[in-house]
Amino acid sequence: MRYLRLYLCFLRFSAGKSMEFRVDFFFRIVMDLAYYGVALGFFHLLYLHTPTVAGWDVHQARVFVAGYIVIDAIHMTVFSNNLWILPSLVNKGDLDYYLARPVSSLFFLSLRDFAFNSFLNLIFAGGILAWALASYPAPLGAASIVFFLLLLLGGSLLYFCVHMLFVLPVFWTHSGQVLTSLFYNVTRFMERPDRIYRGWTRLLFTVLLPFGVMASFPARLLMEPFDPWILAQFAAIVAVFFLLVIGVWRAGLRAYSSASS
Amino acid sequence: MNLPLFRRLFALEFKRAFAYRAEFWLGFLGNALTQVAVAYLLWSAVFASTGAHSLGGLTLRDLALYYLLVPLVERITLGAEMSHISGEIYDGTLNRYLVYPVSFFGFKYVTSLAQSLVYAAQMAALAGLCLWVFGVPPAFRFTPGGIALALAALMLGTVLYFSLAACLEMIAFWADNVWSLMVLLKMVLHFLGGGLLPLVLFPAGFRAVLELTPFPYLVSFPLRFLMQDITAAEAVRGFAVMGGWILGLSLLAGWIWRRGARQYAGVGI
Repeated sequence: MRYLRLYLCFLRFSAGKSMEFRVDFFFRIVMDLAYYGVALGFFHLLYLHTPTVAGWDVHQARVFVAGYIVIDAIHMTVFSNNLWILPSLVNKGDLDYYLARPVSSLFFLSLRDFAFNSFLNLIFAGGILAWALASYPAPLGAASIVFFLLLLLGGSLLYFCVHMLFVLPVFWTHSGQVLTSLFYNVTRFMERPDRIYRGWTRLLFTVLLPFGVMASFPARLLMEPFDPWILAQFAAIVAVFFLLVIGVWRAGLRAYSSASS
Repeated sequence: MNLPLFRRLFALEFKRAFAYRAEFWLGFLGNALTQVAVAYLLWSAVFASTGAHSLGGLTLRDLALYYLLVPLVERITLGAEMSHISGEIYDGTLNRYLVYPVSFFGFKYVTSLAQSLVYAAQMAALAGLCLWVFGVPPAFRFTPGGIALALAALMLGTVLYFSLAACLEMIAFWADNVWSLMVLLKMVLHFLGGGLLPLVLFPAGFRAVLELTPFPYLVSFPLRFLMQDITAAEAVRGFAVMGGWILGLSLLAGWIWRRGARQYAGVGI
């Protein structure tokens, strides 16, 4: 309850802050809409040349694309600004102010800035998902769709955890730029169906760097016959990565040398 | 034109590009290799599902080399991220350029060009290594004439992107932050320039419209000379369209600069 009240405070402060740069507020909305347009346009053009990709037709691919757009929008709204600023807080020693507060520092630093401009995009992303589901030729069922949305939330949590694991080495390296830039490059692997990964690339992108799991597995569980192994793997990976983030965060705090770092 | 000063500035920027070697190479390899890997895996799946040998005249090996060259071409044409003109307007550090004895745009372009040349060396090294290991795929033909025209297109591409980005960066004279606008430009450029999907796979009507915009000339146009996928008439028309855009955008950038500088307070935040 205390954390819920705290999060409502974060929302209030973030709402005020987001209107500080009004033109940028508008540009960011346009930027994210362009990202959605490019994602949908790419798959539309691809399917002009092939009836299926990795076993999915164009309708299934639209649901998958809408799924990863929603995951991206949730990340941009809830986590992205916070993770962007974290390396600077560590390097300048500004983390001290947050460690002294009587709440979980990981909770505080991961969630304190809520991006209201991206929240508008999350609504657009939700609209794209609704369109993709409504135009899907087979009946999906309300319960399946609710389950799919819950899995997308799990995919968002996993995306946050992987992003965090690319940021946290800053406690030791004191330079977050290379890994952050590498993270944005490897996110491309989330934007393609997981079945394109075979052999060692499958192990890499569904276990070690699970980008192939985040949006593909929820889409498979929605549109294909139920496979408990897929659900179990998805849940296990989300849980392991969440615990890993907590472990690395604690190890990072032990290595943190405050203002002199 | 203060040529000795520009030469010195160029040499300085050239050295600066190598100052953080690990970041320089990791950033470059991370972008190029992930782009090739994801494209190769996707197109392997597409070829497997269609059973075709080629799409739009491109085999899987052609596409692999194409996707390797795209990030390299983009790094060259995009240069040094416009050296953060908007940031300098915002924090007031633009002041120093106003008292420099050289043209502001000349200074910024030389800075960007030095970075582009470093990236061109990277491109030559990586592409050479890949061609040596994997051989030349069927759609590519590396002739001296084709390479010379590709280099000319790349060189003009650096000027075209510089002019385009300068116009957008200088919106910072009126807006508080244009970072997202620059990201938007790169995203649109990557897609409509043929970076995400070769333009030959776009519908013909849409491609004809695209050829009137600056985007294809910043990504796929230089590569068409290496693929011998361009007629003399198309090449002449392409260079003419590029020239037109460079002229138009340069005039626009000059106009925005004059208007913006009049209301620039130089205080910063």
